Amino acid sequence: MPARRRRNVLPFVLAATAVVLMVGPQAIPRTVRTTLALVFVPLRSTAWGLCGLVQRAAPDASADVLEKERDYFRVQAQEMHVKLSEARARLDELSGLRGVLPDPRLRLLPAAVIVGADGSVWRRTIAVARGSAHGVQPGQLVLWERHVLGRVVETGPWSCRVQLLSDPAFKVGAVIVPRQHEGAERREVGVFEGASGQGGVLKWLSGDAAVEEGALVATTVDPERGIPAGLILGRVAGPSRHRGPYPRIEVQSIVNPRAVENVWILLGAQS
Amino acid sequence: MRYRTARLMAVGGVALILEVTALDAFSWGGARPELMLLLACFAALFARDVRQGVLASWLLGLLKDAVSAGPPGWHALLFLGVGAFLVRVRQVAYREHVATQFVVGAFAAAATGLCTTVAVLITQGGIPVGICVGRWIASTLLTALAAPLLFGGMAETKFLTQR
Repeated sequence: MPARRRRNVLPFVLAATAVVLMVGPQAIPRTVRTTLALVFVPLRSTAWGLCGLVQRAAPDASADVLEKERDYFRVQAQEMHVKLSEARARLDELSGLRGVLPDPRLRLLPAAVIVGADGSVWRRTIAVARGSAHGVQPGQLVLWERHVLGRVVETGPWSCRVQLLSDPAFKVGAVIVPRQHEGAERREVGVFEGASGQGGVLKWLSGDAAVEEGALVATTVDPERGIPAGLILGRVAGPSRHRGPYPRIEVQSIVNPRAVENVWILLGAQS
Repeated sequence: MRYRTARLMAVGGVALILEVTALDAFSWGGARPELMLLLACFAALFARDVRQGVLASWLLGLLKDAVSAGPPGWHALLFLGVGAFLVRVRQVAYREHVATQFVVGAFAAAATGLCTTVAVLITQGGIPVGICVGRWIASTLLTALAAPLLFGGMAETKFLTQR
């Protein structure tokens, strides 16, 4: 009889524990699980080591073909690099991206990605190997070059969890940077929200806002949260199909977070 | 067959690593097979008793919470619910049959997916309806398809049962 009672009670005890974990103080469980992500560090380095071994052990019969391909891609890369430089220079002139970080308090901290995905398919987060011991705090932006990757949401001593910009909880003020300078007399500020897909949605622009497919979407300055203006969020994927006074513009992320191995954490964003 | 809880947790650790690395790289529309959920279903279906079934399911959920951005305990609660249900209905289900395993995988993925979608929509914000429905269906389908493979593989392995 006591064994039967214990068996019946157990599910309720476990359910109550889970609820307490969810609604109780979050600092300890979140710190513990963020720290647990460090388990992935040796796994990741082992995986990279194995990849390197496989590449070295590959037969060299196709070495000539590979060399030709490499030369071809090198030339292509150089051409693309020149085009990219021109485009960057033009973009800087147009959108004032030059001098994005004029605030001397803002510093960039390099960090390696240790877990590139979230356990839930509905959330978009990664874990990186920098934590509160390195000065990382929740709310700080995470960048890859000038692209916003996300924001720090949880910190452990040596690791932190980053909410990617495609996560549904990610929200930031944003503007569309026009591709044609002429005619861009005013910029309308909207709110960029993650959509759990490959990017997000730009909301709360007025109905007559100029929307160009392929135009860049950049952050607006937010002194309270320490977000500088001009960091790139993505590219306009297409015109709004939303029926209503305010268009909802689909924004495609430019950087694939799965392919990123190292990121920069924008320290000092939280004053 | 009967399994040992500690060894199932070890398998769960490997499954978790697979889920956030290799399986995520091959995800389909953002959806992927929920290996941890399938292990919880396996734990409930093949448990020695109710106690072992619900405890193993809950622990696997807690393990999944370790790599998720949601509130800690959320997956533990969901997996506990699924496990507690399955451990009670297993007497009337032919658990070794592929069709049963497919249905179990589909039910578990659909139920937990729906709960998580609603929770994320309420607490985090808007996800477009198309993405919600598409990913929910894709995740359910992929998990259901993976269920017979995983259950079959688990039944064959001696690691879980040997003393």
